[in-house]
Amino acid sequence: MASASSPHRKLLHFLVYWAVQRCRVSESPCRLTVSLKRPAESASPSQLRVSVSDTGVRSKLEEFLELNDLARETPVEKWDGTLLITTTGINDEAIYRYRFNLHEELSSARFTRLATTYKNHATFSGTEVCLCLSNEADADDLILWLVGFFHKILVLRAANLACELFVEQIGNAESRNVCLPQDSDDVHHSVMASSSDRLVSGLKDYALSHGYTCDKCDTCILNRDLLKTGTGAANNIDRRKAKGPHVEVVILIARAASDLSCWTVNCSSTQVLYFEDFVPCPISKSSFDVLVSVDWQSYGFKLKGGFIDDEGNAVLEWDDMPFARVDIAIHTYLECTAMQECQGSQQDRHLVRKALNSALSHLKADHAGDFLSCHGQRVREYVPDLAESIAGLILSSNDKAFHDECISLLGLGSDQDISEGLVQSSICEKMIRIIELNDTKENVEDNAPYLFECEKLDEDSHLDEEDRDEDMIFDF
Amino acid sequence: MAAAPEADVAATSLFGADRRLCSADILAPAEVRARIEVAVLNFLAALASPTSPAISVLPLINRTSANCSLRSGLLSDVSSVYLSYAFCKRSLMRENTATAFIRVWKVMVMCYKILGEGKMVHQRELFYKLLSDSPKYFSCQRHVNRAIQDVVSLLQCTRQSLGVMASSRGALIGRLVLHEPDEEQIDCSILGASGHAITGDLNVLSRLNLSSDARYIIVVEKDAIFQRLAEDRLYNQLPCILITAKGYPDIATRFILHRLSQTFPNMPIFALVDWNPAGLAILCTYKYGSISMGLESYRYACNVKWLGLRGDDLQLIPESAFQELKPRDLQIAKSLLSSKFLQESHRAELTLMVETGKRAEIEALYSHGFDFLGKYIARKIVQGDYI
Repeated sequence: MASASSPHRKLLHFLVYWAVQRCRVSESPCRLTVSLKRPAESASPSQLRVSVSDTGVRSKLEEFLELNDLARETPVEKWDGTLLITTTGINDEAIYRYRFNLHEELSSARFTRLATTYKNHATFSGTEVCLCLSNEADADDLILWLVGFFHKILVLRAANLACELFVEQIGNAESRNVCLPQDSDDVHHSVMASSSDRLVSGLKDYALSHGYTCDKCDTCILNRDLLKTGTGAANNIDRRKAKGPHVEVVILIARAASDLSCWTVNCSSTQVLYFEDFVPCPISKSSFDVLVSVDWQSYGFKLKGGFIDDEGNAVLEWDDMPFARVDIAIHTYLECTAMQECQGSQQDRHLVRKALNSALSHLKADHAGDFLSCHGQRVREYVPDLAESIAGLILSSNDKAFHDECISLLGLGSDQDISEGLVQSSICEKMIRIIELNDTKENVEDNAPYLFECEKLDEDSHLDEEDRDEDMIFDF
Repeated sequence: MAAAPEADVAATSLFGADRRLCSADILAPAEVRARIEVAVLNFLAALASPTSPAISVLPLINRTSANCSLRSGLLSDVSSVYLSYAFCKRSLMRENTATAFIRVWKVMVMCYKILGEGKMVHQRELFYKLLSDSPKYFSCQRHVNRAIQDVVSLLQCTRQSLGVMASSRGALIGRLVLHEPDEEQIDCSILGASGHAITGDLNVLSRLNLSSDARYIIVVEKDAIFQRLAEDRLYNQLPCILITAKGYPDIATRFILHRLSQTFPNMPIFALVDWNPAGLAILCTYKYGSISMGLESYRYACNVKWLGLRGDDLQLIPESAFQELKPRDLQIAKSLLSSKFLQESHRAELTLMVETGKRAEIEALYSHGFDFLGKYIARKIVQGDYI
């Protein structure tokens, strides 16, 4: 069954993950290619030939030993446990080839050295891993998953990394290149751009193509400017650990625009993109816990619930969402200059929480009215009614001095014909501004002025409207 | 740890109490409108403040038992409950008070208009006006009544000053002639059994000329008893004035009772209530005033004496006529027992009610015949059997 626990997917994920890390260490432009060769229709036994290759640093081979657990889980008929590894470093004279057999008991016997090829002074580095997977029915699912996987890698827009995916049918002359690096409308591709900026750009393209479920949607391309972005980052750099994990979070919000048919329906759920060390991964439990425990209400989001789907993605479900799309990407990674430092970002939930809150605060700071907390939104709903009543009173008064003083307090100038609508909207604006300014701030209540002077306010008195007696009697 | 007796006297004396007494002023329409205008100006000034714009909070006099005290007249035997200067607040920013906040404003705005037109409206009319104007905030009469009391607390002026009256609920009958200036006289001794309806307009009530040769005023809890006594023309056998609010004493009934007591200071006032905590609570409301309208009602407290039904009368009632005290009765009893003003003899009666767990209605006396009630009342008065 197609799921995150499918051994084929886990294996491919593993190989791609290490390929990416090798590329990161090399610090020069690299290419990652995955190619699948399907047998001809009529051929049997059906075997899928997979190759994962990269132009990063030479593989130290140790990482493959981590496949132990996976090999044990995988039935032999799905994968025979062997890999054909070809690898070379930039300064190596030779290209080394190995057969790696995970089913070999003795770990020292796992690697069988094969014939070496000499490079003849050519300078390149890279690794290729080839393997055979039994075809069975899930080849299509696997390809579909791989395509999605690659799309997600591209969201990161990692500097110096180009990714390709090839699917070929043997006997068929055409080889389909499924996935090229996307040409982005966003010119934010300079090498100097930070990984966070790249993630923003990638996530925008992701959103504009509806999560890559379609090619660039023509209507949505126009919406690039309607997207609201919040970014947050957190790390432990200033602590003892000089090289701690980095966490970057990007949140993208698309408003519903009634004249654009794609986004008239309000968003009801968000599949969160989660990356570790520049590779899309199933979300960790601790990060998921942080996600669902964020105080979404103070930003105006009503979280109905969250779960982890079959593919290991966190899905957040929303109630009453005023936006058409909410996209969230979380990326945790370690800086690395050597392979052993690259992997295993310790799950620091505090950093994830900090980065998430930072991204949300960023959104709120830039677009206060849109991200008013749920409480603020409720208060805001009362404003027009109150403004209308007070405006009506002011304009109904035939006391000119009172009338003029009200108008002047509102800063509306001394024009003769001030309409009730103008007074009402002036009062509305001022009240909404105050609500936005004070949203989620503490102690605002205590500093609010009283309408009339009074001696002391009984702070503890609670007005329990509904508890008071029906007929207001027997109030002794 | 008792306070010095002198301090006690001072605290409860009229003078001591008045310093802390919070009262709703009886104001002319123009003055109330002026206060509302000040409210609006203060609100706008806070909104438009250049340094710290804010949405003002409404400070309302607390109408709770914690903020109520008893004051006793030095020269009279009338005590009343009054409210002091402790405030609670209604804020737009708090979920549970936001609706109440808006309601206060809406009622204020409506009253401003009513007063501007020189009108008076009943609470019921006001409800319908507000219901059609702002159905989101006012869906029942209770919302309106509470909001009006909040405005009374905020502006510290009486409900009638706001242009709002409560509908007439009370009635009176007996040896009394009412004369409104420029109107015909009303002889209340020749009316039908439902008596004369007491208007809700306090201004009209205050203009009435009263003349009477009655010796007693009898306050009756229930309409049925009032009508029975009226039909029997009790006031021809016993020179009295009968008055009822048909349940909970509204301000108008209390007002006219107070006027009667002021006009005829030698007429004692007796109460005829059911033997249950609610009946005693009604008596206490006439006697001391209420907390919910505590800013106004202290003015209309009267020295009312408890004639019946009382503990001693229970022997007159057949066993089958007794009922169980309900949880609500016990709630009322508990709250009365913990109040500051209940006099000892009343407290003893209440304790007896709670201990026996029983209640009885005045109608139970009919088991002795329909004319028994009149004789019972006359006997008790003559024997001075009241507390």
